[in-house]
Amino acid sequence: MRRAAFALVACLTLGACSGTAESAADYPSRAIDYVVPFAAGGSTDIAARAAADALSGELDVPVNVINKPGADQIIGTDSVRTADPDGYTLLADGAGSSSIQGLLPYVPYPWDDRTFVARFAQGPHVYVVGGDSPYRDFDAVVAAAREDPERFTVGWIGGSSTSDFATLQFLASSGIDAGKVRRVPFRSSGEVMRAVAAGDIDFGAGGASSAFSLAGTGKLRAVAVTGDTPVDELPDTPTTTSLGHPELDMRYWVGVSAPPGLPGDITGKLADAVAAIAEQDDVVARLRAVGLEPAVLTGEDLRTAIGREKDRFTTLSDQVGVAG
Amino acid sequence: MGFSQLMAGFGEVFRPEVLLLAFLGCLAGTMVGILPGLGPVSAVAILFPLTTYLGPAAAIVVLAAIYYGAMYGGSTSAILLKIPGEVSSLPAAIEGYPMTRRGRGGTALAIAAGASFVAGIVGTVGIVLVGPSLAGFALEFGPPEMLGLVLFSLTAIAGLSSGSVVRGIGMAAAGMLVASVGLDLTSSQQRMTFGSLQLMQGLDIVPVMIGLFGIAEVLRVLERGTVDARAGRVGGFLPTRDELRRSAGAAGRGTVTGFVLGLVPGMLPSTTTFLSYASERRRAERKGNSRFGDGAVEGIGGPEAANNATAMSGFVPLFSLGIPTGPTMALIMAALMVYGVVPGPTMFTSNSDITAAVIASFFVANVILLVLNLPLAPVWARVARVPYGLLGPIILVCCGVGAYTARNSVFDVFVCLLSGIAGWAMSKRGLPVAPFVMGFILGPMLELSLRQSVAISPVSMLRSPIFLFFLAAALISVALAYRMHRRRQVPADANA
Repeated sequence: MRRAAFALVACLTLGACSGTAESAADYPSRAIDYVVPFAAGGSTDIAARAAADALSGELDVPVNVINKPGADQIIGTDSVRTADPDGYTLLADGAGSSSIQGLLPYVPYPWDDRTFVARFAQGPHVYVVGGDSPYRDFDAVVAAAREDPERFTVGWIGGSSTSDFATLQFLASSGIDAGKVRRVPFRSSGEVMRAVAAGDIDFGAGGASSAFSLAGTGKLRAVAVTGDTPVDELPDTPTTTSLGHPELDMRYWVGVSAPPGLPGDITGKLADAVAAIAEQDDVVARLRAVGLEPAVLTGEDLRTAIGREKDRFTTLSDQVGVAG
Repeated sequence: MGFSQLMAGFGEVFRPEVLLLAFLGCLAGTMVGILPGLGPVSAVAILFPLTTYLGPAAAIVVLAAIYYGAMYGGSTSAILLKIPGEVSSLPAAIEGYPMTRRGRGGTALAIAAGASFVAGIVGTVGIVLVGPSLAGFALEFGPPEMLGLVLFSLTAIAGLSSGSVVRGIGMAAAGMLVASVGLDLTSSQQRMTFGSLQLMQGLDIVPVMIGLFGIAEVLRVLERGTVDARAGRVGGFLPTRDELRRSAGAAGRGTVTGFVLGLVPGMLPSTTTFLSYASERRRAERKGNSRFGDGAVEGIGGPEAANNATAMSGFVPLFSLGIPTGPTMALIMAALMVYGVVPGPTMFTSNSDITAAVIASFFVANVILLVLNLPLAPVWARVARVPYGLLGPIILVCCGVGAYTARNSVFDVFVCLLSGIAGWAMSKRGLPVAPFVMGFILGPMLELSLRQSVAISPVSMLRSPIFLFFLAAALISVALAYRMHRRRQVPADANA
């Protein structure tokens, strides 16, 4: 019995040692947990699963997606942040779990306390009005909102998603007082799309894929997608750039992050693997199905880009206050 | 969708490999669902990643099969052990378990399986025949309409609480209060989190419910020290003529209401099963021959049918508008989108082959499940004979696993244990647990729809005929409950 216990302790100690001393050459030697801070089924989740499947082939170990939803992504993010920085616990990161958290007063850790490994996908937002609404196009919505902001109703998902910032950006660039419009609360951009299609509210924004179904029925009119690249599934929708509003460029992204202090060589190896899979045909196809495009960014450039994103969100939210 | 397309769909499904997948899906779903504490949502979430390796039609066939299988299986563990894996099998636990204790568990299982089968088949036909024309219903139901429906559903709780209406309402209020723990949706204010990160994510209904019923039941058995009729004979599974008549009527009513309400976004099977349970109970009490709380077959047949019918009609807004009515539909929508199939009207035109195959597979899955479950009912029923010294610990472990898988959270396991102790204490004091669960589910829906309605326009409710209709129905329902209570027709029981 004592001998068995001794052997067990020895094994554990050796295991722990080999865990910390493992070099990039041996990494990865066992399964990796890839934590998605959302419930299964959303576009981040789908992108993460596509990446996990491909990474598993690239790194030759299983990459398991684990959904840890709740509390504005704080639960999932914190579970990775406090894990061992050994490369076996990774986060499906995005603006909602990083830069936006920099604005939320109740996040109990520094928002950038992690190792940003790589971004692999990026997607535009879509602005929508009801199929039966009097606003036929982008300019008509802007005009209506300007005229009577106090009767203009917009969907709002609690201020913790890029969709809300896309709405704020729309209001700011059109010179509409965001404090005056009526923000109607919803739990997800899917619910916002339903409400806009039904005519319950005037205007909404969401990740492009959230409008695919209803735009196809004609009940929902997608008046613009953000950025300069049209989206295949929304064939008649102009880009904000083509409408003369290149400043409306809100995008959401999906990437891989790790606990703070991940050794540099493991970070590099992971980043290379992520960059390699992002361009694979089947990954690209699965990303496009949910309105995302491969967009690899790693290293210091990535951290800078996310920092800049946080500054832009701060400027936007200072004009209206995120909560409320 | 034409008849010939549907026939082509059946042709697709009757290929051996698709049939095999449907069968495996049903089996896997039943196996997961039958574990105490695990229900359809857990089963679909656990097995969802596996389906991404299949083609689009096969993935939906398997997901649907798992979903239905888990619902059948969930009712089984609810009836035999009083451990519901999902809120929607609570009525089966409340009414089926007393039958098990009387040695009629096999009959309860057969009624549940039969009612689910009927609702599944009728629901499938409903999707094909009236589905596309009813899809717009999902858009008619905005925040004010939802508010009306929730208010009405809350008054139905008065019909759920035996003994005292005041106790029922008090427990519903307590459920609402507990459900409000966490981050406020709009202002991100923290509610009763006491600075705890774990409480910030709020409490999930699945671990709370598993604890309140499952763990509490284990504690009660421990306290009693004996397992009374449990060790006795299980009995056949054929219902008596009277039982058949009563449960068939209830199943018919449950199918219709479940199907119609299931078209509304946000109307989950958990709510419609409870509405069916409440209305069946009230109906029986009006007639003065209620056996509710002590193994009423209407309380199994009606809710089980409503559960399945709601699950079926949820596909209508999903297929025609791309609107998921609940978390399971959202997962199925995701599975479709992975393959570039955008749920929407094109599913009935450019992707009609997939849609036809999927609808045909619902038919097949329901038949497979009936074939799988009816003969197995006596076999499952034997589970109740396993010595409790062995069964109790297994149940506890399964409850813990079920609580964990809801959100992959260890915190939820502790929530489940604490809820178990709370549920045991509630039953000691004669406090009804079912209204608490309903308050927990309806509270956040009430808050959200009220805030949405007010944000759109403070008078938006008054302009909605559907809201006014439900408001009137709610008032009538309260008045009836009050009158019935005065006449003392409501028998006291501590089971619900």
